[in-house]
Amino acid sequence: MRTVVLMLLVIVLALGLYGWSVLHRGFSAHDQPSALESLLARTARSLAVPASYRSLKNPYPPTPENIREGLEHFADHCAVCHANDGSGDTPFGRGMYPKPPDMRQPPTQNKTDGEIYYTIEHGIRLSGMPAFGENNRTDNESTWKLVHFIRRLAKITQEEIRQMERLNPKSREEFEQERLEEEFLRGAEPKQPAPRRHH
Amino acid sequence: MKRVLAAQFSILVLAGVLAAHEGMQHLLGRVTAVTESSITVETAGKEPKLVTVSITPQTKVEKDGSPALLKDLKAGERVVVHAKENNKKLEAALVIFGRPAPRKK
Repeated sequence: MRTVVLMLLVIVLALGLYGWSVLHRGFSAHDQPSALESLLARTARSLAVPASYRSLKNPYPPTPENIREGLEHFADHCAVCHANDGSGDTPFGRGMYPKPPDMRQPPTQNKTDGEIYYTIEHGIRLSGMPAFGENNRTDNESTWKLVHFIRRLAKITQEEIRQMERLNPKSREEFEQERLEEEFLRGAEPKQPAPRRHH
Repeated sequence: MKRVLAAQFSILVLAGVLAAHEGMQHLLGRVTAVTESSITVETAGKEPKLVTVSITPQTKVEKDGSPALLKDLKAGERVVVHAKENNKKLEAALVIFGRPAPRKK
């Protein structure tokens, strides 16, 4: 009995110390989730996908045209957080908690078509991943083409990444800079671009 | 200290032709020399400067909108270099020359 009480005291003390240290240092999205937190989150996320979605197969064939459409969609909508190469190494991605996964790696690539589709359509709670779908549709063509492109990330080429860089959303200043560079390469004399820095 | 100030001053002088993007500087000019490890560019504009940019294994090279090799770049050609400063040296991330790729509408 005395041992049990002693063990409980140690546990309460340890939890108290952990709580104090957490409150003392605060919470930051810069941190990496602990192994326990990651395990719990991955398990919860896996359970969040209904069995009916898990078994879905991509109804569209992986033709170059379908993969190309997925690439264009990804470059325009997803790359800002996930990066063109799917690594998640972007200013937004690095600042999130949890961070976007490296989609080239097995934890993403080993998911079924239906699991990836569900994640895009329904998002992930308590993360930066929004739900992009409407209701419970399982026939969203553009999402299925994205699934094909996400499969492609494991062996994406530098040429494809350059194509995506041209398709990434641009600010007015970036668009203007690109135009000036193109005009210069075509033989025009450069106008002086305004120096600027941003995040 | 003088070297640091001189380097900072040089960067300020070049600001007219170098636009920054996510810490990236955009350099427009003509190639005066190219080796396996560096490109020297005479910047375009009213006050041309010679700027040498290092080539790294990560440097991407693009000609006519497609991947190319640095040996395809010749002295006298127009070039756009996207470069990042690292230890007070400019390192090329992207070297573009030839006709630009058509823009997607």
